[in-house]
Amino acid sequence: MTRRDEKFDAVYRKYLPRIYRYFRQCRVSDDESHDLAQDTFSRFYASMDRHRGEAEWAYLEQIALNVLRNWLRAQKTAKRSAKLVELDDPEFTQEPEAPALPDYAERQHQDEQRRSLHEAIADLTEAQRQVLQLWLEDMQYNEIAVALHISVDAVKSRLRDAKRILSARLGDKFREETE
Amino acid sequence: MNPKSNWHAVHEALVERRERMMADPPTAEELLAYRRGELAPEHEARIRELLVTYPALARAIAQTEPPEEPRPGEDDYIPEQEIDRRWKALRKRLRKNHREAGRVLQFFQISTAVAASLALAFGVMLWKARSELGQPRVAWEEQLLMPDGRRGISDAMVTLRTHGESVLLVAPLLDPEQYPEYRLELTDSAGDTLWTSAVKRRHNDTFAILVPRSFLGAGTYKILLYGVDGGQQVHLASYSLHVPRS
Repeated sequence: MTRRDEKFDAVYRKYLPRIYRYFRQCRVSDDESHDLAQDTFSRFYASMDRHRGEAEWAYLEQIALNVLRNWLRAQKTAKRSAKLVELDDPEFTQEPEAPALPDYAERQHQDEQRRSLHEAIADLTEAQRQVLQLWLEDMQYNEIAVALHISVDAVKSRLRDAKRILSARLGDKFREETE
Repeated sequence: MNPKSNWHAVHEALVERRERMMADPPTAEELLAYRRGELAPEHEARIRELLVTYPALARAIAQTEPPEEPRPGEDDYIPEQEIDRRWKALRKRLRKNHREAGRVLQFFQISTAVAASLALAFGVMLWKARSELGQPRVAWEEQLLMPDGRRGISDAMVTLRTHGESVLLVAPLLDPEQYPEYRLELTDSAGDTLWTSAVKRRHNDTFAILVPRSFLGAGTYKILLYGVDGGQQVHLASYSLHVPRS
């Protein structure tokens, strides 16, 4: 094993579990986290000659962040170019039947609810919406505070205001939980 | 009851709104600069909105300290033998990448060498051609044509001699009428036009065209001379010539 490989081996063993945890904490699935961790070290290997040995974590974190960013970007692109299915594809034609659509009155009710929901969200300030959105993504108050560069108290107050506005617009179902 | 359960619909609406407006995620450099508070207010506001769009990045930014190493019993703990297995898999992948990179490099080296040799060869050929063109040259062969029907009793057509690089075909015009412009047309035995151009009537009432020998393969050709006056064109003479096999 060359000295370069020895150095890489040491970094890999020391940081693989942390890099894996880093991706898991970003709520990336288990398999994907393993793949992204391997990608991170593969990139580290390619660029390790530029690394002088100091601030190993900071160096790895930057690579990991890039890997995560590229993965998110690829997912976005994949969503936009979803798979096309041939109409005469037997797999497609043998798909189980779609569940019956709700009746007209039910659909109208759902559309109405959706519309009022979007209108209510539009009533929120940008700051309130951002906090609400991250809270609904299951982020902790302190995580939201760090991510948005605000205090934990500001997170709580914006969230409270957002919930109050939505409750006022959307009715009792939300009021019970916000009070 | 989960306090967020009734907010599911709000969450869905927010996600739907987010996906509608989804821009590309910010770069790692932008994210780290954002975390350090180094961005201008507008730039910072843009990154903040993107963090809401990509919560995974918001979580990454929120990790201000390196994560602690997972311990046995924790969900994300990786046993030593699993690390070994992954390490071997990565080494295999790195070696493969290295070999492929080597092959790509080799391909580019070979392609570059071939391209360089071709460029050199073409350069030499071009230089030689330019030098030759700049040199004095032996005069071309001159071939006097006679108009069809006026070649005498035998009316034999002119046969081109086959030596020399080019031949100067000289077509005399016996018609005394002057035209503002003249045009020559070279056709093959089928009557298809091979070449045509405006020509000047020379002081001795001849027209001359210089034809590379390679332009005319073995066969019979005709040169047609026209007088041009405005939109009108008058056929003045035809000259037949024969090119033997060389």
